[in-house]
Amino acid sequence: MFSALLLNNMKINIRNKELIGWCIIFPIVLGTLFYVGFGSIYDIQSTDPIPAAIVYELDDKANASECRSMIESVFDNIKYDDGTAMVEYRETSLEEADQLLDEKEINGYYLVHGMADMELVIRSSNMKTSILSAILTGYKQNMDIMIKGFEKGLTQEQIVSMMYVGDYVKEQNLGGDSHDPYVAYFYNLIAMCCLMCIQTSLHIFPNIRASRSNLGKRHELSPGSQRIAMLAAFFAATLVQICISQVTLFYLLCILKIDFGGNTGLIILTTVIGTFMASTIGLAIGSLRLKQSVLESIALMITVGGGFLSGLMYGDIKWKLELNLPIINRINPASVLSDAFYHLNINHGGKGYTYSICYMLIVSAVFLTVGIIMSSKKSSKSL
Amino acid sequence: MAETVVKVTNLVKRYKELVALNNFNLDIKKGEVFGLLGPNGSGKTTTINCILALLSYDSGEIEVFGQKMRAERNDLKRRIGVVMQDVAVFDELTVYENIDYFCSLYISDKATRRQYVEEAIDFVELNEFRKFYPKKLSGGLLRRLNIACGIAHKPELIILDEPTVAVDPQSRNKILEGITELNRQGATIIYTSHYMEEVEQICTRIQIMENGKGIALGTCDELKQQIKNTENVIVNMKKISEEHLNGLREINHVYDVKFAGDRLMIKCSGGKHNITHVLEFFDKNDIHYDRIYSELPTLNDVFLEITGKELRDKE
Ligand SMILES: Nc1ncnc2c1ncn2[C@@H]1O[C@H](COP(=O)(O)OP(=O)(O)O)[C@@H](O)[C@H]1O
Ligand SMILES: [Mg+2]
Repeated sequence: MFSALLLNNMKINIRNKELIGWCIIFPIVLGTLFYVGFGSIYDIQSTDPIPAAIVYELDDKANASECRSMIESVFDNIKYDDGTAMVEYRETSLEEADQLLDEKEINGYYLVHGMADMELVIRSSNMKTSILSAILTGYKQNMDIMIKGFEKGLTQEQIVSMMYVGDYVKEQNLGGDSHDPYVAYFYNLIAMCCLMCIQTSLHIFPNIRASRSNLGKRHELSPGSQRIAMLAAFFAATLVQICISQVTLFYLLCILKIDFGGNTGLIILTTVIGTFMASTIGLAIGSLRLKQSVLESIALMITVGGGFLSGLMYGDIKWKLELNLPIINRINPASVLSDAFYHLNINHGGKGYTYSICYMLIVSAVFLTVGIIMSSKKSSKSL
Repeated sequence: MAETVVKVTNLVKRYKELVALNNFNLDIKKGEVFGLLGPNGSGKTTTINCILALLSYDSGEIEVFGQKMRAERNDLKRRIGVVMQDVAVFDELTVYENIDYFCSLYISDKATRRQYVEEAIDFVELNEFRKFYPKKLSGGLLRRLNIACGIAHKPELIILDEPTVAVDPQSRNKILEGITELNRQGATIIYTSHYMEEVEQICTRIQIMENGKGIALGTCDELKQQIKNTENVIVNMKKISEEHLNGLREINHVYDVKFAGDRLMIKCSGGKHNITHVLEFFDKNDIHYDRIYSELPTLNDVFLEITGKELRDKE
């Protein structure tokens, strides 16, 4: 029964022109728009120093001078390939920095509260501000390594050798294989493409439940197992969606030649796991005994709302969240998925990537279990 | 007495304050073509959904093949085939694939299933349309596909809920012949409809229902014998005076006379040859008319006499 249902469900998914069209065309069009939109910036390859300000609002006055020299040495050591400094910084007061930012004299300023506590304030999203953000990320990661190192009782030499103080950003070229500060938009895009599977899987339960549809009546009045029918529809939808996300990925990597950085095999694996997770989310939402319109709203919130929060439409939002409410970025599937690509690029995997993958696998397991539990036959009060 | 296939006892089903089924009873024997006849909203579909354990009910008992029917009784469900009131097929699957899909919920053996699907396609005569998608089928063909999806697994009990709604007369006849053929091959049939002609044509026994209650049960002839109406004389004419109408009412066995829209309807009891008395009356009074004929009562007359309402609006 399973194989027959799986085969027929594959056909149903493949022949759903609306679905296929939407899932393939949307990311490809959006990807192309991004590409064209950023195209002019891609060509500049500027080596102009980026004007920025550093504002010290130190909580810990005792270590003030250490902190200053540490931060200055970091910025002094961030250089373009030709050796010019990447950031042209000046130390200012907070008011001064705000004014300079308003007058567009600087692209942003770093607000330093302490050695390990630094924020970036920017008012626009462009390549220069993206570089400033990337520097902040790199800095924070180094600080992280340092603090953990001290906790583990490593010597200063050991820690320095791990973090390459000052050279990190330069060597890794903005902290990653990819030289492209806009690649984050494409991470979000491919994450979105995987999450589309939520919409597809949302229909699995309505199609097999008598209270939901006429097709559902057919399923429930038959002797066939609801669980097997559900799993067949689930795997068919997931497989088809995985293929779709691979098409999009292929388009971005091979046609637009976007440089994602990181291992292509791992990127593919990540899209597969991401799509699988999205499919289980859709499945579980669809299994709730709520009105169809409510289910659709929940699914839309997770895909579009999550996409928005992960920075698909407005690049800085994820940063703002990271600084103010990081938990959102840890649990929003779109952010977790785009982070996975980011970590692949930055660290070739590492802790952040492991977190993302584990999160997705756990979410998948939980929601698939929900789906399995919810698939049973039951007489309804009303049809 | 043949064994009971479906037994419904004192079934009560409420939707909030609306009582959809009110102590409804059924006792359907093996080999019957059992008709469930009633106007829209009388509770036919609700009854079917309860029998199939798709719907829960407030009280009463339902037995299928002598066993209590419940949602998880897959062994009983396997022996039932259902053609629902609304067409339910996948738009993305062809005629063949749709039948195969639903048959696979019943039959796991691939070879058997292929044979059954072929037989179902032959049965509903959709052979030349086997590669068509449902969207490309006309209403009648779509209904036939819907039927094939419900019966491909060769069930012992076939339940059809208004399978001919919105179907052209040619397809309708094909469907009715098909149902009779399925019965001849051994299946017990439950057929619901609000078309009395269909029920009269194919059903061996009929339950008439109204507002969730059974109001009359029997074979077509038995039902007609339950009422006093035995003949309807119908006269097409332009006009007739009130005095003559009263004169007609005086005729022996005539119990109701109505004139409306150039049509005079004379309802008679006690035998079949009342038309001669009407003709005599017209001759004597020199009344002119266009056409006169006599009809035997239909199930509509049965319904009308029991409930005081027409079974349905005349089409
Ligand atoms: N889901 C429902 N909720 C509320 N009332 C319903 C529902 N389904 C049917 N009914 C009501 O129950 C009665 C019987 O309906 P139904 O069984 O569909 O009649 P039939 O099939 O004979 O046309 C009708 O009055 C109908 O309005
Ligand atoms: Mg009905």
